[in-house]
Amino acid sequence: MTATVGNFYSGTSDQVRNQLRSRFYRTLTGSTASTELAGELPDSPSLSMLPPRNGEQETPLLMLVYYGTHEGGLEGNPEIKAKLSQPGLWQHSEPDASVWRGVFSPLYHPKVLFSEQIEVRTADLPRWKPRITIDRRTLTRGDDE
Amino acid sequence: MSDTWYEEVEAATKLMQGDLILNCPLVAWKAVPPQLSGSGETELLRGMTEAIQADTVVMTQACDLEQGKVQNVVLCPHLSLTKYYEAWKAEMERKSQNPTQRAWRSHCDDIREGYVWNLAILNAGSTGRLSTEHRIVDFHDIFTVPRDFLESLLQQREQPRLRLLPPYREHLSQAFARFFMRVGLPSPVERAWEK
Repeated sequence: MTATVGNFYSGTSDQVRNQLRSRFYRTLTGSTASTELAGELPDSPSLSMLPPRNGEQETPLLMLVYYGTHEGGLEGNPEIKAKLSQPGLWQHSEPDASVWRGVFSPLYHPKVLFSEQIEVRTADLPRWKPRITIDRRTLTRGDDE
Repeated sequence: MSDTWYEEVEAATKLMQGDLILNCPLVAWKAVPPQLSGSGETELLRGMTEAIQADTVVMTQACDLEQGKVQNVVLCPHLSLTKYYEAWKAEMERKSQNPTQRAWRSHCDDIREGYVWNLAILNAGSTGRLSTEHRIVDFHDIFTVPRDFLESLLQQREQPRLRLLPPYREHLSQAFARFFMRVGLPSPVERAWEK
């Protein structure tokens, strides 16, 4: 079973993200359910990112996804059911890994060796010159003439 | 399918693959070999950079531009067939070859047929206000320019530009890919049928 138990916006601070798991789940699910949930949670819940939906300019959502195996412990819990049935919680479907295939553009921060501001007047710049390659094919043809 | 190779777009139009950017300022590496002794590598690199200008065509994939996936735009230089002929003739003479008209025609045919990996030829064309003669694109040199910079520059110039239309745009892109992915065999297939 895959259950979405909460989401972070990408602006969420590290302090919030890195808080103790039990505390985090308590925040999400309420004090009564948290005790029960915290005991059954895996060590490493997964964080996935969802892109903005069509037409939205929002920052992507970070979704905390719990790939749990203890379905029995969650099923039938009215508080969990109430949480999962909230329309706002399910407005984003389960993240699909294929969304992130193709081109992914993370921000790189390479070490800068040097940097300088240059003033460019295009008209004064030297023009690019091609490097012509005379290949065997051309030479062979030349010999034929 | 259109038999027109180009459309004309206004200066403020967002960049797209196949846009011809004339007189584009670029940061390039100097052609002179680096002097490795003495100064450190950072100073060496600094001394090897230079700003140049060239007529260029946007090679970045259209979808990457459309979806804002890239901050820098990949450009390849091109020049008019007239200018290219001058360079070709000079190189032939430098190599003690006779730059005959037949040799020139054969060379252009080879480029047209895709036998010269690093070169592609764009057709001549004209729109209402703009026109170009045939252009030779050279994939040997590849430049990148910040997209924001280039779009600002084009807006500042307030000049319309030519844009390659599909499928000519994709044909150029395919030639670029073929140049990059080519594999030379140390031992080619023998021509058994010629024996």
